[in-house]
Amino acid sequence: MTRRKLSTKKYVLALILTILVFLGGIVAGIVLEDARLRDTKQITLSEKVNLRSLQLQKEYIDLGIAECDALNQILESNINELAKKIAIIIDYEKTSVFSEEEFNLELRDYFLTEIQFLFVSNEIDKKCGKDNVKVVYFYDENADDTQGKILDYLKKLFGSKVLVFSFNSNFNQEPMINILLTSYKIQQFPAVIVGDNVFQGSTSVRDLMKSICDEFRDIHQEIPKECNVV
Amino acid sequence: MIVKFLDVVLFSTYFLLLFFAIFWLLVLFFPENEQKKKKLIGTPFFTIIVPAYNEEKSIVETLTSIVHLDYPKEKMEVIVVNDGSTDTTKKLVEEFITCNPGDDIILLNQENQGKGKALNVGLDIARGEYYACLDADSFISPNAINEMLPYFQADTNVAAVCPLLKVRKPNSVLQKVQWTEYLVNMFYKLLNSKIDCIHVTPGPFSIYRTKIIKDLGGYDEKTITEDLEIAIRLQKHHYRIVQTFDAIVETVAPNSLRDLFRQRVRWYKGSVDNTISYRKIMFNKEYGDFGFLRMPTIILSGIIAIIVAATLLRELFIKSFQWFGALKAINFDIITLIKNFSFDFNVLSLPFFKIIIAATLFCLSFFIMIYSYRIIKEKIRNHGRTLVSMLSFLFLYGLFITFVWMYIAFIFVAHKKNRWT
Repeated sequence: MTRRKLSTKKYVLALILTILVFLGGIVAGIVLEDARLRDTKQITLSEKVNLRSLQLQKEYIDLGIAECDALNQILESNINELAKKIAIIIDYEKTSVFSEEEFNLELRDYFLTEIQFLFVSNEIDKKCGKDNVKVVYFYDENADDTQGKILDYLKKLFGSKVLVFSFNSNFNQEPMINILLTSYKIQQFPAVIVGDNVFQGSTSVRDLMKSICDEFRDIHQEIPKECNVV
Repeated sequence: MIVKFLDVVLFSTYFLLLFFAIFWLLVLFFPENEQKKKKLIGTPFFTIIVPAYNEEKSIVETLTSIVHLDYPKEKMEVIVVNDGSTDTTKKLVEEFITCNPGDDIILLNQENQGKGKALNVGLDIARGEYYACLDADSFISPNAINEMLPYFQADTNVAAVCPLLKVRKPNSVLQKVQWTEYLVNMFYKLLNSKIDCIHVTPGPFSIYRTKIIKDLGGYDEKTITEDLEIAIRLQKHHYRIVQTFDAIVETVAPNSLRDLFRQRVRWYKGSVDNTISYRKIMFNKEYGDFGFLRMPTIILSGIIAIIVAATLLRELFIKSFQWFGALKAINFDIITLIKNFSFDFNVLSLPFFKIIIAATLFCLSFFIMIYSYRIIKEKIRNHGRTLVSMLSFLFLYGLFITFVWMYIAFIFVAHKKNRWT
C-alpha cells in the first residue's frame, strides 16, 4: 500500500505566492488610487480657475469690457464640463479604498464649486438676462438613477442651452447642500428644479420637457423644435 | 467604498483559482513522484472487456482496432458483453468472430442491466493477469498494451493505468472544442497523476490489475459512473493510478449540444454522487492530497461555477432591467441618444481589478491550453482545428459547463432519479 503524501510545502508556497500576487494587486491599487486622487485635484483646481475667471469677467460686464454673449457661452461650456467631470469624481470616490476621506473632501470641494457656479450663473442672468435654462438635480445615490438618465437624455435633446447642476442629496458632509434643499423645500428624492418649478420624486420626461420648454418661452429664447411636440 | 456582492464573489473566486493554478504549476515544475517507466518484461495474459449496448455504428471498428493490437494473440482474450442491444450489435459481433477465427473473442449476451453489470459479467470469466475495459465507441493505438503494462511491473501497488484519450475525427466545431477540452483534461490528469490524485479511470481502455479489482468486489452496478467509482475505491484502498501519454485511445465525442449536455450531466452528477458516498475520504489526512485536494475540488468546482454564474446572471438581470427602465422613461427615443452620442474615455476610470482578473484567468487558461498541446505533442492546427474552436473552448465552454452544474443542482433539489444516458 502507498503511504499517502500531503504536499504541504507546495500548498504553503502556493498560498504565499497567491498572497504575494494579491499584495502586488494592492500596491497597484494604491498607485492607481493615488493617480485618481491627483486627477481629482487637477479637475477641481481647473474648475476653480474657470470659476474665478468667470467671476472676474462678470465684474467687467458693466464696464463693457466683457460681452454677455461671450460670457454665456463660457458659462455654458464650463457647466457642461462640470457635469462631465463630476461623474468621474463620483466614480473615483465610490471605488476608493485607501483615501476615502480625501476623496470625500475633494467631492465636497467640487460640490461647493458647483454651487458657486450656480450662484454666478444667476448673477450673470441678472446682468445679461436669461440665456439658458438651469436645471438643479438632487439625486439619491442609493436608488436607481432613472431620473438622471432622463436628464441626460434632455441634455442631449436640448444641447448646451440646458445647464444641469447635480448634487448628491445624501452628501451630509457639506452643509450647503442641506441649505439648498431647505431653500427649495425638498423632502423627497430624486428632486428636479426647473426655473421656479420644483419636482419631487420621480418625474416623467414629458413633465420635465414641458417645464423646460415653458422656461424657454419665458426667457424669450428661440424655442427649440423639440418643444413643438409638447 | 461600496463593496458589492459580485465583487466579493469575483475576488474570492479569483483567489481560489489563482491559488490552485499556482499549486498545479508547482506540481508541474517541481515533481516529487515521477513515474519510472521500464520495458515490458514477458507477455502477461491480457483480457479486453467490451461492454456494448446498441453500438452497431462502431463495434466492428472497435474490434478491428483490438485485433490489430501489437500483442501476441495467444496471450490475449476479448470478451464482448452485449448488454441487451436492440440493434444489430449482436449480429455484427458474431460475424466478426466468424471472420477472425484466429482471435480469442467471446460474446456474452445479457438482458440490458447497465455497464457496471456488463463489466462484472466479463470480469467473472476474465483470465488475464491484467484487463482493460474498452467502450465500444473507442479505438486503440496498436502499441497501447506494450506501453501501459510496464507501469504495473515497475510498481506492484499500481492498480490501474490510464491512456491518453483523444476525440476521434473531430469534424464539427463542437467536436473540435471537445478535442481541445480532452487535451486540457489529459494535461490536468497528468498533474493529478504526479501527486496520486486521479479520481477517474475512463472507460476507453484503462488497464487494471485483475486480482485487485476482483478482490475489491468488481464494479458498482448502481452508479451511473462506474469508471469514477472504481477509481475512487482504488484510491480509498491506497492503490496507485497512473496516467500515461504513450498509449493513445480515440473515442467518439457527442456531436450535438443535447447529447453533450446529457453526457456531462451524467459525468458530473456521478462524480458528485461518488464524492458524497466516499465523503469520509475528504479532508482525511490518511489520504494525503487525494483527501485534501482532489475530493473537495470535485464538488467545489461545481459550487464555484454555480455561485459565479448566478451572481453574474443576477448582475446582468439587474443591469438589463435598469437599462430597459431608463429607455422606457425616455419613450425609447434611441435615435436622439445615438445622434448625440459622445465617447468620453478616461483610462483611470477603468475597472482595473476586474480587468486584471479577466486577463490573468485568460492568460492562465491560454497557457494551460498551449502547454497541453506541447506535452501531448499535438500540433495545434492538426485536423484543421481553428482559432474559433480554441476561443470557443476558452469562452463558451465554461458557460456550457456552468449550465450543466446548474442543472445538476436542480436535480439535487428536485430529487430526480439518475439516468445512465
